[in-house]
Amino acid sequence: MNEEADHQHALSTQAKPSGLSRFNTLRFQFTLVIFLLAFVPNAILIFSAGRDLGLLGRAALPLGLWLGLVAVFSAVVGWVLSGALLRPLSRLAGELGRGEFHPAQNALGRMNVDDPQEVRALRAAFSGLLDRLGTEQGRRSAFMATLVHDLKTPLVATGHLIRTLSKRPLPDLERHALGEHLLTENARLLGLVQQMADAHRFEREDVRLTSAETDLRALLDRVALRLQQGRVVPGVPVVVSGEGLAVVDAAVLERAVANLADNAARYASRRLELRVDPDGVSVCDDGPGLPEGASIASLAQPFNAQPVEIAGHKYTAGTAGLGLYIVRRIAEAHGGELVYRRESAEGQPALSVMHIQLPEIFGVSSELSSVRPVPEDPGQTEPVGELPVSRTSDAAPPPSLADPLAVAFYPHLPVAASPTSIPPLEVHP
Amino acid sequence: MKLVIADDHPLFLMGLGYALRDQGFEVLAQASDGLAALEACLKWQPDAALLDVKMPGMTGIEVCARLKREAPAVLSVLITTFSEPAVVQAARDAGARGYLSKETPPEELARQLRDIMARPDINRLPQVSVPRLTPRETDVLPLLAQGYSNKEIARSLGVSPDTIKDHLARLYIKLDAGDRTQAVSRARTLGLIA
Repeated sequence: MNEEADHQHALSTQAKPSGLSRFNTLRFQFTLVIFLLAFVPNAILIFSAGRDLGLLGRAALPLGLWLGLVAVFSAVVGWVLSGALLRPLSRLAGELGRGEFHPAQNALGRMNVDDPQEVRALRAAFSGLLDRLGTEQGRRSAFMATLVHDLKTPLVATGHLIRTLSKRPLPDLERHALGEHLLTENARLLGLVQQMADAHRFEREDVRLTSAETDLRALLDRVALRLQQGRVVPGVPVVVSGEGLAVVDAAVLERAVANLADNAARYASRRLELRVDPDGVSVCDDGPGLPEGASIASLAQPFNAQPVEIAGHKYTAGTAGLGLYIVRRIAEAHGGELVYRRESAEGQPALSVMHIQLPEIFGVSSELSSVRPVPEDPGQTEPVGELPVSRTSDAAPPPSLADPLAVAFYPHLPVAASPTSIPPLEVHP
Repeated sequence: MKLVIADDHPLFLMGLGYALRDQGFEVLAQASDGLAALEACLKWQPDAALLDVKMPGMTGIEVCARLKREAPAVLSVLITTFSEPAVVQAARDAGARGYLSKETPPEELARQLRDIMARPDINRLPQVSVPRLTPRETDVLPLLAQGYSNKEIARSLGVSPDTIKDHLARLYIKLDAGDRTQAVSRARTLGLIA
């Protein structure tokens, strides 16, 4: 409100100039120029004619009166013309001042007002500026909503649980489970904060890469193994396919693929595939994919506000797009791009494909195989042995609660039930 | 005192459950979405339902409204991080008996719940004054906030610019605003637009 008051004050100050500054206006300057252009040649002609005709003294009075009339007429013409010339600009200033700005073009691409080209350009520039301000305001709302809704709720929950752990005698098993839930939530919140920090950083600077020739298959195997150990939904096989080498920053690219794979695992119902393609790597799942009409360009934006409708009104209740935005920036840093498409084969469910396109891949092969284990040393990329794709819950680590990426990628969907989440309805007899 | 609690955040649901049990409440069921909360309330007929506002499927406010019609004996209490006047107003209209912040400490939460159950007829929702907009005015506001001109709003809603002018005049009166900027600013403060 203070900013608005300042703005109003600035407008009112501009509207009431004082002293000599009242003449420091474009209209006055235009009037002066027109006046001088009209009057000076007339004055010269009249003086010359008077001298040639020998009109001096009282005989020159009619000429003087005529000159005065010419001066008044020139001033009036100048005032009227300058007003007409500056009308589009005055209209624009008035609209901006009243907050009733009309963009240069409406939604149908038609010109809203009959403005000269320069003022249209000004309108277009203001329009762009207002759009950017609107986007920034949306991002700020989403950022604040993330702080208020996405972070406050788990922090309050953590407080309740810590009180319970410290005050209430619980059986060892229950106490251990509570501790694991708290640790998992803590990791999730740290992940969310890290994502917010990364998105903020990637908005301002390039992703720094330390590139080296990397076995993309080994990279996908590592992601698949981690997926299998921690986050997959039982019954969904993870398939890794293809071979290829590329000059990339393995750690950074792995993070991007892991982001995509985590999210795909959350929505896949029967199929999840990580594959090396001839022009990059892809993460495919048979989930519902992006919302109808949505594009990567619109969703992979930092702090993309996602409104929620409550009682007929829309509220910003969190941010979305952080995960996708980070993946997009990583792809771009490698000279590629993030592409989304739906693939459908006859008799098969349609696949949502998130493809990180890379500039160059060597030794491409489309051989299909199951997930292989990852060596202990993260620097070593050669896979060893075979690991059957199985989803026994014995090996599953503590449950992962609602992942911010899930909301980040598919904000329109409820998070799929995972073995870790609390069942929708728990009844205590 | 028997409760059904609902929140889409699993950890909050768990923490709230423990906190309320510690305070002597019996938590009959925990639900992670609005529909499950409604079903649990209809099935278990608790003394009160403690509902989050933003939940998948049905919002807590929609659950309140359904409970008011289908199980009037169940007292609906909302627990939320939303404080926008328009949401409070909607909760009141839906028949909520309480509107609590998620930050409320367990002891205070228990005290307020017991108060609500002891004297359910007292209006405990925060006092807010939110103008009641017609559906058309509700349609016009977001377009106004996006900086659309009267002509563009009219084209977008399929009505004449004069009709929009009338809607705007009424909106200005309801929002106590002198111009478009003030109207949008006031609507944002009241939570009528994001």
